[in-house]
Order: sequence, then structure tokens, then C-alpha cells
Amino acid sequence: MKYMIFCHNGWGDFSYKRMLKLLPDRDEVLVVGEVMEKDEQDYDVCSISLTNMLSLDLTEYTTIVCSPYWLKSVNSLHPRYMIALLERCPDDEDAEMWNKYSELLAAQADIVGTASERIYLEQCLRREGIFLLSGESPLTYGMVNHRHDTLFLNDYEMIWFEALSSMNKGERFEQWTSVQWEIRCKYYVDLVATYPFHATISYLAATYLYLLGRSSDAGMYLVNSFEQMVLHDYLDCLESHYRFLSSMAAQVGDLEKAIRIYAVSVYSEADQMKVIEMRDWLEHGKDDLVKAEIFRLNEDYASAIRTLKPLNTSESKSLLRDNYVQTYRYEDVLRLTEEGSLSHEKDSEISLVDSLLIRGTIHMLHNRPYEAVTAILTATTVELSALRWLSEMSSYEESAERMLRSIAYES
Amino acid sequence: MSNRDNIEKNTEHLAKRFTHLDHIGLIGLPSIDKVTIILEMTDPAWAVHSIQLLLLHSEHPIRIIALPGSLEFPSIQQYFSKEEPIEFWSYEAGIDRVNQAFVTIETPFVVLMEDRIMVTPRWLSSLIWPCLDEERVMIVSPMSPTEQFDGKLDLWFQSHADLVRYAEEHHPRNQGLWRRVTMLTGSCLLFRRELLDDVGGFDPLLRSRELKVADWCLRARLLTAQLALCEDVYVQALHPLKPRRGEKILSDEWHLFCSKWGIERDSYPITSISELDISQCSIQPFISILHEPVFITVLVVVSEALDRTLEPRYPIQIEQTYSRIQWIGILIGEHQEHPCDEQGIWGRLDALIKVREVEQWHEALEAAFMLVKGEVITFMFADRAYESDYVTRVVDFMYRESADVVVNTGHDIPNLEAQVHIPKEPLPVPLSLTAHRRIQEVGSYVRSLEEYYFIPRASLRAVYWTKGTEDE
Repeated sequence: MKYMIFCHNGWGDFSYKRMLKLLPDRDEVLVVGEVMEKDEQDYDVCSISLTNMLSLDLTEYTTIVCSPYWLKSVNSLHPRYMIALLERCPDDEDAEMWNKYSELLAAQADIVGTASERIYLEQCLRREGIFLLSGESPLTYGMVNHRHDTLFLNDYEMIWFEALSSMNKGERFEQWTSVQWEIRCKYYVDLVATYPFHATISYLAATYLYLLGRSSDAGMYLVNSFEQMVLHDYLDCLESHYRFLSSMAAQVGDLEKAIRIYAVSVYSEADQMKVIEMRDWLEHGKDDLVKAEIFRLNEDYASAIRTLKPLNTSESKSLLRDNYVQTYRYEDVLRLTEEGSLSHEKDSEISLVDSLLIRGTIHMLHNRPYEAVTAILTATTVELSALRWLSEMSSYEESAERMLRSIAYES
Repeated sequence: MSNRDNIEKNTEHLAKRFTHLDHIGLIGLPSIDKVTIILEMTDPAWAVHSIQLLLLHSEHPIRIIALPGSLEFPSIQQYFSKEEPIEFWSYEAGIDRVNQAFVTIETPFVVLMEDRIMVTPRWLSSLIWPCLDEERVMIVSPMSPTEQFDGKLDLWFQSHADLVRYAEEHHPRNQGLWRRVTMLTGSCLLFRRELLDDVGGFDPLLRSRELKVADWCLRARLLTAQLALCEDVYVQALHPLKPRRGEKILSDEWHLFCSKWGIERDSYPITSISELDISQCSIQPFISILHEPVFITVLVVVSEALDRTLEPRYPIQIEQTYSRIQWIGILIGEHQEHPCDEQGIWGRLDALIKVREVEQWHEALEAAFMLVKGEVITFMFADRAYESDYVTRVVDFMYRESADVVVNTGHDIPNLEAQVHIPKEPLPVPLSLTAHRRIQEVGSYVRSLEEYYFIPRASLRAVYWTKGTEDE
């Protein structure tokens, strides 16, 4: 298997160097930009200049992309697989843009890894195929032969290795997600025994139990965390902690309770209207809609999508589309919109402006600037505020250019 | 200079000479005999690596007996040349293979090891020395992540080169250091062969390896054997990402262990064992390492008046890979002739029960039960297809899961580890997919128009599995 690495700020800042030795079916590993000679030997990688990279056939390569600013260039090269390694926003970058395009990168990637547990958990609630690339276990879970030595793998390295191996074979790798949740869950549950009054530890234990579908066990940890937050005067915990109990109730199928809990955690009129709408759905037996909406309101888009996908009503498709928009699955949004307009389902249609803006973003990320600008200019004829998308696009292009220039200069 | 000073000086000289000779490789082999290594294999990749390290780091001549842990374990012979001293045994259902390997041992020292262990330089001689230092030392363990008590040491190494570097630095600093311990539970144990004559083998009633080893060590201590922990040798261990078969101690097995050793049941998990006052324990009976595999009775049932008998019949798969079978046929109803007679099956039965009336089915079963000699009874029906390893799998599940009843649910799921499902409440199960131990009041048999059913008694350990037969 051939791999091509696209670092954000050059090889020096690349924080997953050891992982490169542990890539499964490792054949050739190229790094775009300059790599020190010693590192080339130590990590068994070769550097390649930007120009030479563009002359290669990337359909044979699995790309490892560490910056959202590479997305446009990599997309247009049609790699075999795309692995996204998500990083926190660097200090010198615009956080809003970095985060948005990192989401787009994650949505387009075949598999996603990150060393940040915060990003990891956020992503676990958004999509499948997310792996944590950090951990605390001192134990050895496997080994990989690398040159004349055998490298030992810890838990997250072994899970990542297994997931990538499955991906390379074209097999499903979701089972390794649950294995990682089990390990993280055990870690935090054990830690709660040592620190029973630590709000964050209890919250994390509850989150992993929830991800594993064990809400009946998770509730106790969440309540404990909520109590600690209240005791320490964190007043926003009704929304951040208490509301989570509604998602847990929805997971075990107690939708009455889920709505009741959610209703306690909201204040605004719009949110109260949502409660009334969900009660109405429940009365009319639209249980799955309630369930999905409770998940969405708790920002668990992944569960919401899983619940809605098998449904085939215009209401469910409309909700599904909202979830796709929230998780930046723009291609899926357009697909649903097209299906909706073909079947003349009014509810599942998206506003023309939104549709054009999404289409414009997709064109831009696939390096089709003319089509992108046309789509957005068309949107501005309906809604002038769409113009700000043009400026966002040019900012993105500018950041991407800056990164490419620094790489080109290095090599 | 006092006499005491002289002795100290002489000791120092001798130690220096020993170190010098050891350093240049002139000593270091405490025994000239071969050492037998029994390797319990659980994962092909681990096993290959583990054997490679055994061949690399064992200073003594060794003989490796490699035991596969399941029916599905693939062959790894191709990774080793025929000249290597390795015997790859095949898997046999219904018997403790470690006990079987014990029978063949002729060398004075034996190592019992799981394939998760990665040995380090000088590991073997370091483990032998305590036995030569002290006659009563019978079982020796290195420091490792797999020990539960004193010897537990979790160290992280990036690579094998780092592990070897550590071992080579660690060994001279601690050379010869060992201490007596009360319990060993790890995945790498060296012991004297003669221990098998006094203590016997692993208790086949226990299922988890950890409890088997703990029980074996306690029995050895009852006979005044000492257990030693070598502080000058560390071996690394691999851990599975998902729990493996036999890893988890089941509550009924723990209760069995507790009643055997007079331990409070609530003292779970295993920590209480090391504090056990062995002088208060009664001598446990010798457990023979000579065991015959399970003898099984297969009841081949052909019944009329089942709606589904109108469907085409399968030839009953009497050619089973399992050999220790008593075959009993049961014919229920008016049969013009013996079904499937052209296969010659009915002539090969050990016994045949025949009833003319369908209502007499229960009497037919009762009569067959009187003839049963096997420890386990399996039912095979003429209208179902069974694979040739069906009985082997039944025996394997029965033994491995310490089950009283095993039920094949008929769906082909390739991941064997994930198949075992123990229901909270016993449910009626098709008799044609059931096997149970020959025990008193095992359950009841009922019949509907379509199927014969078995309802296991509530307290029995019923295990459901999903491979080995194709549903029609």
C-alpha cells in the first residue's frame, strides 16, 4: 500500500511520526514537502516536492491529510482512500474557518483520527469511523515488523492499525470503534472509583457508556457529574449535563421521559415550540422522529442519522437533511434534495439559496472555481447576504495558498 | 583479618569470577538437559512471534509443543523450518490439551507458556537457577504483566530492541535475585517435571486459565513445594483488545474454586487467593493427567407425523470427525423400511429403538436413554443437515464453556468468539439442535406438530452457539 502524507505546516510540526511506521501493508510512504535526511531514514519515508507530487497518479495512494487547507488539492487528485487527522486550530489560523473546513475534511474522509479526546468525542457524535490516537495504557496489544525491528503497539495504535487494515481490505471497521469505546469507558469508570466527586471524569464515563448504548448504566454517572456541577455553581449545566439525560432516555426508548427532561432544560419560545411539536409527534405514533430529534437536540447527529436513515417519509427526510447539513455531509444533502424534488416532496426541499451555497462549496472543494463562483453569484441574485460566502471562499483559498507556498518554499 | 572477613572476601572473589565467566559466555547454562516448552496458542500472529523469540533467546536446547487453542486455529508450521524443535499438535475437542502435553514430558524442567509472552535474553537459565539453589522450589515465574500479585510489572517498550536493551541491563543488576511467593498466576511458568507425579495436572472442572494455574500452585504448596519469583528476568506480554475465551472467570466456576479451597465467595476476584492460609486447607486429591476425551451418545431420530418430514430428507451425517461416539437410532412411526438404508447407516448403529405409534415417542426416548453410555447426549434428526464436524463442535462447546446444555441456533456467524450466548431464562429449544449432559433431571421433552422440543431445567448452564449445521 502506498501512502502520501500532507502535513499542515511541514514535516516538523507533524505529530504522528511514529504512526507512519505502524501503517499496515506499508509499501511506500511519501511526505509532501521537505523532510530531514535523518528522519527519512528513521521513519522510512521519502520527501516529495509539490510539483512532483502533482505528476503522480494518486488513485494508487492512500492520502493522510492533516490540514483542512489540503482538502481542495487532495480531492481533485482522487486518492484511493483519504485518512483525515484532525488537529486543534493552530494559534495563527482563523478558528471559525479551520473548524468548519476540518468538519468538511472529516465528512469527506474514509476514516478519521485525532489525538484530541475533545475533538474525538465531538466527532463520535457526528459520524462513524472516528478513532482516538492517544491514551494512557502502558500495556502492549500487538506488534508490527518494521525493517529489522519489531515495534510494539499500545491500545490505540493497535486499534488504528486494525481499522486501517480493514479499510485497506475493503472491509467494515466500525467494530474497532466499539472496542476503543470499551477501553476508554473502562478507563474512566475505574477512574471514577478513585475520584468519585470529579465532574468531568464522571461525565466522560457517562459519555462512553452512552456511546456503547448502555444508557441505563450511564445515567448514574451523568447524575453524579450534574450534582458536582451544581455544587460548584456551574449554572449552564442544565443544558450541558441535565439535557443529556433526555438523549439517554431516548436511547432506551422512553420517549415520554426524554421529552419531559428536554422540556426542563429549555427556556426560549422556539425551544418550547419544539417540545410541543415532539409531543404531537409522539401522540401520532411518530416515535422515530421524536427519538431522532431528541438525539439531534443533544448534538448526537450520528444517532439521529442512524434513526432516520431507514425511514421514508418526507418529514423524516427533511430531518435527515438537517442532520446532514449540521455534519457537513453536503453531497448527501444535495442527493436528498434531488430525490425530494424528483418525487415532488415539498417538505424535503431545501431553500434555493442554501442549495446553491452548498453546491458552490462542493465545487470549490473539488477545485472547480468557475462552477463555484457561478453557483454563489446565482445565490446572491436571490439573497445578497450570500456574498459573504464569496469572501469566505477567498479567505479559504488564501489560507490554502499560504500553506502551499510554505511547502513549495521548503521543498 | 577475621574469619568472617575472609569469607566475605572469598565470596566477593567467587562472585567476580562468576560474573567474568558469565560475561564471556562460559557459564550460564544451569542444566545440560533439554527443556520442554508447552506453548498454548491463542493468536496465530502472536504464536509465530512468540516461537521466533523462544528460538532466539533460549540458551538451552528446547523442545516446543505448540497447542492450538481452538478448532479454527490456522496452521503456522509454514513459518518454521522442519529442523526446528517444534511439534505442532492438532486441536482436540473435549479434553485439556495441556494435561495431554504433560503426559509426554521427559525432561526435568518444563515451561508452560501462553503465546502472548515474549521472552528476553537469558530468560531460561534465570528461571532454572532457583530450582538448583533450593530443592523445594518447584514452580518459578519471571516478572511479567501477566502475574496478578508480587510479580506483576507493566512496562512499556516501543520496540523489541528496547525490550532486549532493558532485559540486558536489568539482568546483571539483579542477577540471582529471587524470592518465595505464595501464588503465581501468570502466563509463563517453569516447573520441575516431578511435580506432575505428586500434584498431577490441571483441574478439568476449572475453565479459566488463571484459576487453573492458581489451583495447581495451591495443590503444589500443600505438598510443601515452594513457588519462586525471579526478579532478574522480565518477559513482556501482549494483551488482546477484546476479551478472549477462558479469560473471564465465571461466577459458577469461582464458586467451585471457593468451595474447593474454603474461600469466601464474596472475596472475588482473585486477590484473596494469595492470602489463603494453606495450613488450614485439606489435601486435595491428585488429578491425573491421563484423561480420555468425552464419550458421546448420538440419538438419531426419524419421526413420522412431523409436518416438516414431507420435505426432502438429508442423509444423516454419520461420518463424524469425532470418534468416540455411541450411535443409537430411534424410529418413530410406521416405516415401510429403514429410511436411508441404502447409505448403510442403520446397520452401523450400536442400538435401534423402534415404536409404531407416534404417541409412543416419549417411551422410545426413555428406552434409548437406558442404553446411553456417553457423558453427553446429542440429538440428530433425519430432516436436518449436519456437518461432519457437528459432534466435534458440540463436544468442544460443552467442554470449553462448561455447559450442561448446548444449543445450535443455526446461523452461520464466522466469529466464533462472539457466538456464545447464555440466555437468562431457559427456553424451549428444538431437540434436533440440542445436546445435553447425562445428568439427573436435565429438563423435559415436549412435542408439537412440527418439532420436538427440549426445555432445560432452570439452574443449568445452557449455552447457545451458531455454527456447524445448516437449517433447512
